[in-house]
Amino acid sequence: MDTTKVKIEEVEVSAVVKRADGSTENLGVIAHTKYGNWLTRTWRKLWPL
Amino acid sequence: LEEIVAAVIVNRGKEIVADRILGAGTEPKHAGWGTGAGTAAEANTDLFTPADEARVSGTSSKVTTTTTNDTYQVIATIVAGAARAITNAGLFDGAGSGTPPSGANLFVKADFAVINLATGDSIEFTFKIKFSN
Repeated sequence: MDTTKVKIEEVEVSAVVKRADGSTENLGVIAHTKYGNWLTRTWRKLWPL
Repeated sequence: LEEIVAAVIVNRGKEIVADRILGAGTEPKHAGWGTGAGTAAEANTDLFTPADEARVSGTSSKVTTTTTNDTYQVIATIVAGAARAITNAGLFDGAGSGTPPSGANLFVKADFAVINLATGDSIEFTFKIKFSN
């Protein structure tokens, strides 16, 4: 792996609601972002190729 | 991939990543939730209107999304102590203190369509942060 290009690519949050009566509701993915390459930019700013 | 709503590594979260690579800091696996409105942004340092429930130390692991162990995952369940309309959640590097909890550092934050809960209901959140190159 080229460590100068390591980045956080995606952040994803999923949820399962559990009701007090014992029932459950799987909401699946409730929030998701696919990132650009901020960490790549950060690393390259620190150590230009 | 399609963006659903915001789930972001906040600015302090980037520092946490760097700290952890250096072997510093504490693991950001404490989940909290909030009831306020807003779109999660990198400049955020807290949830939107944190609710009174204490943050929950989740179960963390590394899992595979694309390549082996490329994803940091935290699973945490928060139980509603009263009726709540939950709109956002996040991970912190500590439990914080007080009611609602404050303190420690925000790592990741997500906003989403409201989830209405009654007393005793809970949400099991799964946070996934995938690394790539």
